[in-house]
Amino acid sequence: MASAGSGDEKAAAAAMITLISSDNEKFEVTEATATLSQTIRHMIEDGCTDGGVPLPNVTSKILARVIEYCKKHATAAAGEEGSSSSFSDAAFLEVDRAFLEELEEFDDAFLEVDRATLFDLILAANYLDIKGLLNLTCQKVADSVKGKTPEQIREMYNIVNDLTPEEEAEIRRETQWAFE
Amino acid sequence: MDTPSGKSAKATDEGDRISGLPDEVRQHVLSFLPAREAVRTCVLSTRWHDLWASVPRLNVAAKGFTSQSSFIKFVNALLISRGCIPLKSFWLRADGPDIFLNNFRDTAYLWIRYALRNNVEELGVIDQWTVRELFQLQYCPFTSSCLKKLHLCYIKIDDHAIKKLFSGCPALEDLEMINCEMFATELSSATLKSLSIDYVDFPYHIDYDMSGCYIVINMPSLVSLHIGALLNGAMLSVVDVRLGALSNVKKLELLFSYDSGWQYYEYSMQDDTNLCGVVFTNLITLSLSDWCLYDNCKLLLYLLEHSPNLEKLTLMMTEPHFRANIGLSCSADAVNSATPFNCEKLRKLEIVCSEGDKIVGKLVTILLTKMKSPLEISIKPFSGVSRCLVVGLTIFTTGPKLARTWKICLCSHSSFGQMVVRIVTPPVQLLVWSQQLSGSLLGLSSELLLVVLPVSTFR
Repeated sequence: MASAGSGDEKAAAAAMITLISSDNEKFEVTEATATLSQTIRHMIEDGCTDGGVPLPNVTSKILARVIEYCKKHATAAAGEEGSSSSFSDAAFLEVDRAFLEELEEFDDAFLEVDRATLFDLILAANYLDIKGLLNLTCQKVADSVKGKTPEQIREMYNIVNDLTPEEEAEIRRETQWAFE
Repeated sequence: MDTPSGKSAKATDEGDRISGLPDEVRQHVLSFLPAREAVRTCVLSTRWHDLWASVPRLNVAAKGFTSQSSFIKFVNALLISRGCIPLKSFWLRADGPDIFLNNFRDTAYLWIRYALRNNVEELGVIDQWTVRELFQLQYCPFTSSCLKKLHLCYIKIDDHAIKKLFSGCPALEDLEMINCEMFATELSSATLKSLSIDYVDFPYHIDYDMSGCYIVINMPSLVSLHIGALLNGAMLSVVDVRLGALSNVKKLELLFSYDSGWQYYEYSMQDDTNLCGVVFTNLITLSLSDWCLYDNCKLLLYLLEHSPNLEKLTLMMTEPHFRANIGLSCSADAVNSATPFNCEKLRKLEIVCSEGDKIVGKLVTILLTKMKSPLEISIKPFSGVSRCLVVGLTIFTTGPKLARTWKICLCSHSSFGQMVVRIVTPPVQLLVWSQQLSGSLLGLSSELLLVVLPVSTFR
């Protein structure tokens, strides 16, 4: 609808968007929360959010968590004026240190999930294009493999080594400079 | 419920989910790893074999390398193997034992040039502390239409290099320098939006007559300026951050020490052409350290008077004994002489101080006396360990403009010493609370004399 246009800030702040998960559960969120997702932001800009936004790749369980993240982080971005949401602009935003700490605690607690959920969150963040959530979750995976040998990483993530011993030896020879 | 998807989630839980992630997502994961570990994922399986080579973010760190030569060998091989795949960010950290960029500076220049050639947007060059000569940017050809953000640490930059940087990188928006040596007197850029300088030495004055030399920051697009500690402050020439040349700045942090602050103050206030009349129309957050108390807070008062859109003010106090005998004061004269502030939007005042700093009470008095609008004050301890004890906070309010609320908030480590609040005219409501005192002091109004004892006396 026209009222959802970004021109009128108050109308935009109050506008609600309905997100529909793959298992047909409906979630009503504010536009400010929903637009942390660039994918949804573009849908809103194109005016195709009437009747709800179907998200066939995201289950209700994961969508609920994603919304929880977006709600928290939308408050952090609330002080930011205009529609700009790039990272460099966010750096200029003066947020209370206490609030930043709270946000960090939230993020830490948010990441206390089993591995399957973590991967589902990564896929959802990627599909919905939520930069902060994608960084957070990918960082968590990166931290988990930091300092580990390839063998340890394989074991940790059930990676089946489908390279023949010859192939692996060849690759190791090519990248010997990284294994010294 | 949705059994099919539930089942499949369970099934994949057992399997290899990480390799099933889209390539760009796995590259994103690798971008958080040191480059060497990212490369080593090539032997995991066929799906990982080539992935590292197209990761657009490289963290090249010397940490973990046993020698300089092995580090150089690794980085050279990495960059050659990687080829000319576009880069988004490139961080070069010489953080290994005895590994300094200046020891292999021609090679380091090549690496930086590689990053610039491959359209890097964010570049970090980080050396470590050394008594020897720092790595110089002088010979580095900084020409890039993509570079947006540059972070330098323990790097030496001269006048020529800084000019070339600003002219050769028209997209540069964000420059951060920590522990650098700036052999330059002028920082001029039409595009830069954020400048942050911390622990930077400006040794240029050695070659010049100090009185005639000052460092000019002329950046009309700047939105955020942070100047932290400046080294050799006593020898530092005046940093001229003339606001006419900083007309867009929204966030200003001048947190240098007294000696640098004194020179800045003298330069700004005593020569009529420098600050007088300048209005800081866009300024929203302002942070100053206690050099702003020079000459009865003259510059602080000037800034408040001329920043109509200021929303938040932070004052960082250092230890009181440091500022004894150097002319920092906050006397009744300041209260009487200051014109009421036009800061209608100022809502938050944060003071960071050490325990028993008497100047805080005086400062708050001045600000509350001259403020026209409600203000939330929070007083926080200098460090997390010490408590800050506010002594002698006396608030006198008079006049008709008192229908307002002040909130004075002390964080958990703080307590009042002796606080006298005398409110002459109702209906002022003063809310004072801290975690220890909450509840007991709310809703005070009318004339009162309030003396709050330190928290310890309640225990």
